[in-house]
Amino acid sequence: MDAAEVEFLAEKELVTIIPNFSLDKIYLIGGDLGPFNPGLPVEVPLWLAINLKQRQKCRLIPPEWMDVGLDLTVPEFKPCLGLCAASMDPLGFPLSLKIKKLEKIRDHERKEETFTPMPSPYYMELTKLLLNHASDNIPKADEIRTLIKDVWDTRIAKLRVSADSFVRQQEAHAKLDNLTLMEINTSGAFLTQALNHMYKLRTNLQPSESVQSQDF
Amino acid sequence: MSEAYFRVESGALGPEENFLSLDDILMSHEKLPVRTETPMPRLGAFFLERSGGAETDHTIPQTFIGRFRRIMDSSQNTYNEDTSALVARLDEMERGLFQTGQKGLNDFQCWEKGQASQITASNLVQNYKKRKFTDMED
Repeated sequence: MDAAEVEFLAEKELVTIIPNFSLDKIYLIGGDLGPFNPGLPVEVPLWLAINLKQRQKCRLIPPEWMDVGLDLTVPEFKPCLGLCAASMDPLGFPLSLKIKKLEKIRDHERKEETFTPMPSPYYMELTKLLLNHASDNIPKADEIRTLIKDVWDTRIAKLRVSADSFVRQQEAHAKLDNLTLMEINTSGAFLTQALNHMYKLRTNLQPSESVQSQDF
Repeated sequence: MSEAYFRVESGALGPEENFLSLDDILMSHEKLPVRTETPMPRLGAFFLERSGGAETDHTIPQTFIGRFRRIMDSSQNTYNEDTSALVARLDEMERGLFQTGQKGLNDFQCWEKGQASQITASNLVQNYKKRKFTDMED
């Protein structure tokens, strides 16, 4: 697969936009979209969001995980666990409780030996597209780019360590959880070719009856 | 007086290398005694019979295992740089592996820079134009 093909798949992910136009619901083969009303948020696939943004017909809302803002852990909301992200206003003043933020994601990824679950299976593609086309709608875009790159580098490094130990121990199969398609696509071709070669080396050195030969 | 012609016995292109008999002229590969083997990737494999030790059976895969990490890291870390020093000590198969690693890296970097969505003229069209100029000059 090309990276561009992986990006194509990622563009089906839904993101929130705020359109500045009106349009009735449209019925596409892949699903229904809209209706669109100025100022009202609506969820659309990323490919449409980027297209509308390029035509200056909407404002993009970054995903909840694409944030490097303050992390105010209020005691009242400590029972919240997991990857939840809630913007609540229970006491009349704006209060953002975001348990998973990018810095935490990066630090967690660095700490763990295995791959941690990513906030989106297409985090790399979403970041690149949103920051390239809608950086004016995303606060602290440069920091986000740096953090995502750090996460990516950490995960790729882990992937290489895994590949090395896999080859070293000459295992038959391995299972890696929480990998994303872009990571697999970038490193996969090398690993499979190396394993093919290992297989040929091992079978060529086995006793002669397994070597292909013809006698007349 | 000796005969001008005498029939030659077939030697099946054996040690006498007889090319004159009818059978030998009409020899096809199906009749020819032949033995084929899979080519060995490493010359060291030819010496297995002579060395005879169990440890040599694993030398070649172990060598590759030891070099794998360096090939992987160097091919996936060097972007847009001169790689001649890195590939100088690799054999042909390892160089192919190195190129695969580079291709994955270059594809990703190209995508990240946004070049994947740029339209460029294909080599075929560019070369065709160059050839046309040559024809005109002639």
